[in-house]
Amino acid sequence: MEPHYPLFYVFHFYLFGVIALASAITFVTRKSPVTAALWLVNTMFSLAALYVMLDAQFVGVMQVLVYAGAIMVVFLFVVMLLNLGHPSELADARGGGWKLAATLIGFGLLSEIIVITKTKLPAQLVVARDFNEQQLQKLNAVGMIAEPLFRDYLLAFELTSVLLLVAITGAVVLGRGRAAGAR
Amino acid sequence: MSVFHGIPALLQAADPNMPIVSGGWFFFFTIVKMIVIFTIYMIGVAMLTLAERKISAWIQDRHGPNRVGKGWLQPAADGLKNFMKEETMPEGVNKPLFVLAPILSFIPALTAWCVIPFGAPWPTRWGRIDLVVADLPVGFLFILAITSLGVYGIVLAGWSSNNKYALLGGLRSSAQMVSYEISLGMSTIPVLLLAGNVSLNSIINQQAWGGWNVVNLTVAFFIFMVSAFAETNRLPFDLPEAESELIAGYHTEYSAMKFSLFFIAEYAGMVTQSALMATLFFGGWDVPFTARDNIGPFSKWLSLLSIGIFLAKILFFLFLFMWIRWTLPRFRYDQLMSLGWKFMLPLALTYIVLIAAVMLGLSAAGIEQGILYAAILGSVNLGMLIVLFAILDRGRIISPAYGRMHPKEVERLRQLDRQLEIKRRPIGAEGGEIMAIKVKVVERPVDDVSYIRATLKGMALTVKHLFDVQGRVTTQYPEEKSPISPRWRGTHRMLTTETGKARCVACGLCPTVCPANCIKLVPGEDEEGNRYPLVFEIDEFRCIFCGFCQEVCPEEAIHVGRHYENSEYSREGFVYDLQRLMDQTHPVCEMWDPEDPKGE
Repeated sequence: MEPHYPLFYVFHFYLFGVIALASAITFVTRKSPVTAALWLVNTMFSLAALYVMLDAQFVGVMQVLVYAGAIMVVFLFVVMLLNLGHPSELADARGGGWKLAATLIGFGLLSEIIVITKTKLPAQLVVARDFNEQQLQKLNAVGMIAEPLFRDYLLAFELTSVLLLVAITGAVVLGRGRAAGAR
Repeated sequence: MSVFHGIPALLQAADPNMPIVSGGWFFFFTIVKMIVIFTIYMIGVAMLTLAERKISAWIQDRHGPNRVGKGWLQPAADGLKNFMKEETMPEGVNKPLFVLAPILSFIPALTAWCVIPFGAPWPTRWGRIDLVVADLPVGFLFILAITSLGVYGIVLAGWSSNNKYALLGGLRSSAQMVSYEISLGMSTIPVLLLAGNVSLNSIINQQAWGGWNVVNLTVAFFIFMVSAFAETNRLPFDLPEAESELIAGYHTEYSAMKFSLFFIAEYAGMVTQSALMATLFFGGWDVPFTARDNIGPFSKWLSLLSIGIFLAKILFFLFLFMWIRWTLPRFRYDQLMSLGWKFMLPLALTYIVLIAAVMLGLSAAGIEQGILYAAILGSVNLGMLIVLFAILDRGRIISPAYGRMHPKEVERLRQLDRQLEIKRRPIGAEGGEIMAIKVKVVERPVDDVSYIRATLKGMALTVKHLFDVQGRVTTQYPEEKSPISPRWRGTHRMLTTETGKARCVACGLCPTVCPANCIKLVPGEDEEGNRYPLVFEIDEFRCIFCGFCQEVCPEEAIHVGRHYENSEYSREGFVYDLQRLMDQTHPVCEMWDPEDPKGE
């Protein structure tokens, strides 16, 4: 039973899908780091639009807020550290072996996607068409995420927090070590 | 928690007899709303530039723009001028990004407006129109996400300009905006906690019920306001364009309409942040003392009133932006960063914990949102404000250059002074071992150390000047001229004899004495053997108006004069030949008064 989506929806799905893919390809192929980072922002935007179309507004907004913010930091690195006037030396994908490996992984992922779309989903993953809308009515945009996150997956959430804490501590240690060395 | 979810839900269950307009009408009215908002917004932003110039002028006891349509058409004239100007494209810029940057800085501020509710629902024959372009369920987060993109425009402008000042401005602004975005976001979490939702309409409705958040969450408002100033790059946080250090910062290389877009973006950002302050902390469009604007039955007059109330709040905050800009000096960069990271962020985090605890306590005590709830929250805030401004703001919050020293440092200096006292002798005297200056530790009064107090004092002073209508002085230049000294040395003039010839005898003294080498003289001789200048040219661009030529002239021929209004279309126009020098009629400079040779 194929569900029928309105033309409006389908049009925008393909529009943002094409933009996301094209931006992603441009992101990989650009040599200039600033341009590449900008294309990455564009990809993230299109993904955010796709999330919103799935009634996941909170995820969409967070996509923009977090990723745009994170890419901003990448930007800073690019502008401050990498802008040495030799973008060609920064080009990635060195050697044929790496390129071959990347291609293989890409094909692997693609085949995985095809397999997943062809197989029937397990029953507990299937929800009603208006499930998201009902949830939105019952809770609110944030509650939809917060409810399962802090109830069903609390342990995983807390473990992730610990992981982030470790990362922050590591950054502090690195920063302090360099400062002490300079002195 | 049911209490917090219940009240907004109750308020959101608006008049069931009046459903939202649907179908084609929905699209129609949405487009109408977009056009109306865009038009009013753009005109408003243009008028803001005038308001800024007027307010700055009044604070500085001037009149401000009063020419084009008595000043009212000045924004139109500025806009026209910016369209006519040359679009410069400096060498070495990254062209696509250079063009993209102003657009990227302008669009986010504008887009944020599509989720800000600006009035009570408007009843029509086809149903109810919510006066907001798009009532997103994630409304407030959308604004945070979109406004955080404004920094891209500034960074890209700085980077693509291929100019060190622009790059520094861009880097500064990205660091500043990323830092303050965090405290901005954190300061609003208590607001979201109270409302139990992130949609702006429910935040407004909650305030209609539970009192304005500026009372409930005063400290959050304070943090939000400071961060909003930093986010919009307004003084005292305008480091990205600090003209005394970076020329104009990130938009140094921009001209004409591209520059204008940055300017518009700044004001658009101000309007957006003002609207946010009004919405989050001052009840938004809510009409006080009635619930009809929230739950119906709706009326058009009430809607208009609510729009008026909202606009008045926005205008107040815009005025505050300008008032503070013309009162406070710019922060130093390290002060900015330490204020953001070491004070604002910890304060915001502490505040979240505190408010959450108080809310939990009140919920456990069974107190519902209302007057008592607001009073308790308000008193908690009052206590925190007293702690902040009476104890923490003693040279500790930010460390201005004159900040109070640590007591230990003071004691160390005193100790040093006492030691030196023993050894100190008059220089040259016997036994003088050391030459030292007495260390003097000045106890500064609280007024000098407290930033908040000093700010309020400054604001009181500026607002006094703002309303001082009698004291405004501006010389209306072309019609009314400032008096100039009789010794003013301006445009040259060659005096003539009664027969109409130049008095100059081409002796060659003036080109010799001229320190700028701006006089060109070719002497000639007539049949009677009298010398006269064949060519006598003065390049007024090179001239430094020292007046040596006049002093050295034996014939009192060449003079510097009391005239300064020169304008030409080309550089060549400023090379004055003999005839032109003779044609000048302005009064010449009186080098000195014989009775008062020193000019006293």
